Amino acid sequence: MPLYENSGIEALGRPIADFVIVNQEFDDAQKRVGLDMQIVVNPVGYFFLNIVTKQHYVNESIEAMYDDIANPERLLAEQSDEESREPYVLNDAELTDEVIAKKFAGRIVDTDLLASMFFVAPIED
Amino acid sequence: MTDQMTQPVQYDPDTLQELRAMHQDVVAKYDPRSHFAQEQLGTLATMGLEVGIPFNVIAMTPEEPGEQTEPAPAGYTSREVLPDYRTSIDRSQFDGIIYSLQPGSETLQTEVTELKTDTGKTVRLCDLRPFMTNSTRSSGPKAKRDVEALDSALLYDLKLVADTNHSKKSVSGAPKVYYTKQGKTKIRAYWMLVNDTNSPGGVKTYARLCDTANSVAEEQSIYRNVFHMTLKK
Repeated sequence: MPLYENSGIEALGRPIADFVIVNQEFDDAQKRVGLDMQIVVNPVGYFFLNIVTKQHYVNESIEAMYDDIANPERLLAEQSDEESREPYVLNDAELTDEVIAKKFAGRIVDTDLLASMFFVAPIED
Repeated sequence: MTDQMTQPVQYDPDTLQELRAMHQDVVAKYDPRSHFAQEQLGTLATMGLEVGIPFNVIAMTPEEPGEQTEPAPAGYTSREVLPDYRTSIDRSQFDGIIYSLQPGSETLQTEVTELKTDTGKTVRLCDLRPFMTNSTRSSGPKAKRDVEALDSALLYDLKLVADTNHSKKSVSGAPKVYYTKQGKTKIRAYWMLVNDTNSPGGVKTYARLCDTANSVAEEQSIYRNVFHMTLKK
């Protein structure tokens, strides 16, 4: 269930004012292949976004498929909105700071990006 | 509910035994997260479905009468809660990293589980979740299967760190803090390397700090309240 009724659709067409990477995931070669970030879009609110490389997305999907086989009862559980939200997949082989800065700093929120953004909270004065 | 409805489902014992033996063989010989092992387990799950036996029944280890000791988790040869041992963890090492420790004594004391990996490395794990503030302490998965899966995944990640000195998943802006995640869910366990002055030299002690359930709200709460990571508006 969403935290707030606001879906964050008002963020469409507005720039990302700030973001912070809260955690990161590396592959065997210590390349950063996944990360979670918090995003602020003024004056709409705070968002959460999971970003992964295409290869990592494939690997995670395979792992999840086997997890579903091993835990069939989990499939029966109600899917929450956040569970069903797909990560934002980049074609880059590695999520370097340069890649992230180039693709997200000041970026205008479009429908593709919004589809992966999870609304966390409104901005309070 | 009638008596008939409460009757346990009976599976063909020979088929079940055969599938269980195959499962135990795969788990014993291969890293359960390897591609090969997952392929084998997927095949086993399919075979089970064809004869009407769910995979969780195949994967279940039947209780052996008289067995007293807890089996070592996958990737380990032994697990033992150290008798008569308490940590001595100076809380100042969390300054500027962890913001949700309850007020209390300068030294955190708790029991320790010592694990030996199948490559001969030793690692220690203590649980600092009870030392956290109420909101942090109450977060994390509640369903037994999720709790057990997260515990198992955490031990697996600790084995990787013990064997390779690398962890693949870390918290940005919180030095030495790592996390374990359960599949594609938001279920997480956060942990870090700590200095336990009671521990013998060379044996690393990791502390479990907090968990999150499959919830963005809980995850955001952890980053805000435990690690003090915030955004400028």
